[in-house]
Amino acid sequence: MTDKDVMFAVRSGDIDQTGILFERHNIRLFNFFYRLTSDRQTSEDLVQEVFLRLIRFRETYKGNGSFTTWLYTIAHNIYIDNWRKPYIQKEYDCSQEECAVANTVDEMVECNEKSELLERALMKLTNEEREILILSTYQKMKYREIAKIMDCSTGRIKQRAFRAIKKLKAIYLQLTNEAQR
Amino acid sequence: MKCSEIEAFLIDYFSGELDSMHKTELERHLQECELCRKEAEELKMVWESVVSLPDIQPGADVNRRFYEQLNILKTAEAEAHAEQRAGRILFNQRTIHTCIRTAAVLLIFFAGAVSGYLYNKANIRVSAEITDMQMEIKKLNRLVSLSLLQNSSPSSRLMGVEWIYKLDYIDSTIINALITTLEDDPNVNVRFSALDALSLITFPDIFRIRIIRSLDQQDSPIIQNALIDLILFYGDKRAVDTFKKVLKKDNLDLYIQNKLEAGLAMLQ
Repeated sequence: MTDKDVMFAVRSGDIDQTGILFERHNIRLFNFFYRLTSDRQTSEDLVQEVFLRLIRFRETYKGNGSFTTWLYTIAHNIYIDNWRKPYIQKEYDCSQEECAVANTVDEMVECNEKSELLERALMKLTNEEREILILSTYQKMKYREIAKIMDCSTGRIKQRAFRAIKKLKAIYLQLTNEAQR
Repeated sequence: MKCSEIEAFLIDYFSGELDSMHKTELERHLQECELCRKEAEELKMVWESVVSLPDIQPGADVNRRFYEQLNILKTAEAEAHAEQRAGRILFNQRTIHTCIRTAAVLLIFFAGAVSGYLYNKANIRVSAEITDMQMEIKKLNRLVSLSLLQNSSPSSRLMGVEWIYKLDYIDSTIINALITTLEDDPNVNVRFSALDALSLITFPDIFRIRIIRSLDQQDSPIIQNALIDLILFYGDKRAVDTFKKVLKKDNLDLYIQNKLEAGLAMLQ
């Protein structure tokens, strides 16, 4: 069954099927929020909120466009709602699990350091810049999909994405230089 | 392609969305221009680093919490449907009784009306017009409330809540509007006023879950205090998770913290 089929079943009242969508998407959604907030607990809470809203607003699902775009529109709105709330952004803790693919201790240390610097650099972007970059790179979404999610033009998204990657490069290089000193 | 033009194409190039004609042109330019090539390579390196960020696994608790919430929602929806069905059956029984009574009343009324018609024709017409007007006013009150609640001015939204007290009946649209105001309104007075109105209304269980969950969204101790009182009045054990979650907040008011702890002890 495709995501759309499952969502139509949920819309018809079979909310048990939400479990299938949860199993398929919760990890990517968690990572989306985690890359945006750097906070594990907040990200887990926001994932729960996405699926609760999906159930609450299931009747608004029309099946136009991709299901993922619809799902991330909900996620985006939840993230926006959270901007209003002051929460403490914790320092990024680069965990071992991220570098599990590294073969040697040296590689693991290097991987940890790179990821940590990149995460720190990402957190220095504005919320909007960070969200666009995460959606286009990590989530591999098309710009037109991101434009739909963020309710603006594709041109604006591309412009912001380019500005964000340039800024990220500058910050990342600066942090790398500082770390090497 | 000129150096000044490549920026417009690089972002599509990185994401693989650039058409073949422009891709060939861009790659040719990057081969010829060292400055642009260096810039593009550095940007690509950062881009690829973000693309290849590894997946982080959420805690095992996420699954448990999701399925718990799903079960709560299923139960709540089943209860709401049962209430609706019960309401319909009751409505059907009542309808039969009401029809018999109405027929009797109408018969008496008709007899009275016919005899009175000749006597006071003008009075009946005026009375019917007044009834119609009263119905229109009731409909209007409801529309005014809903419309005011969506107004950009906080004082208008406050007035929208006040109008709700004038209504003869409260349906799910009105309850939904009040809960949405409690959840999302940026003004603390409007949220408080909506909460006050909600505390006087009896509604299906499914709305209660939203009210419980809205505690986590509140940052004003006044609202938190009143909301905790209302939730404790319900005595709903499903509030335990929300209470625990709010207790973890860093900037929680000490009084609210004590109240939540006392409330948890009551609910558990």
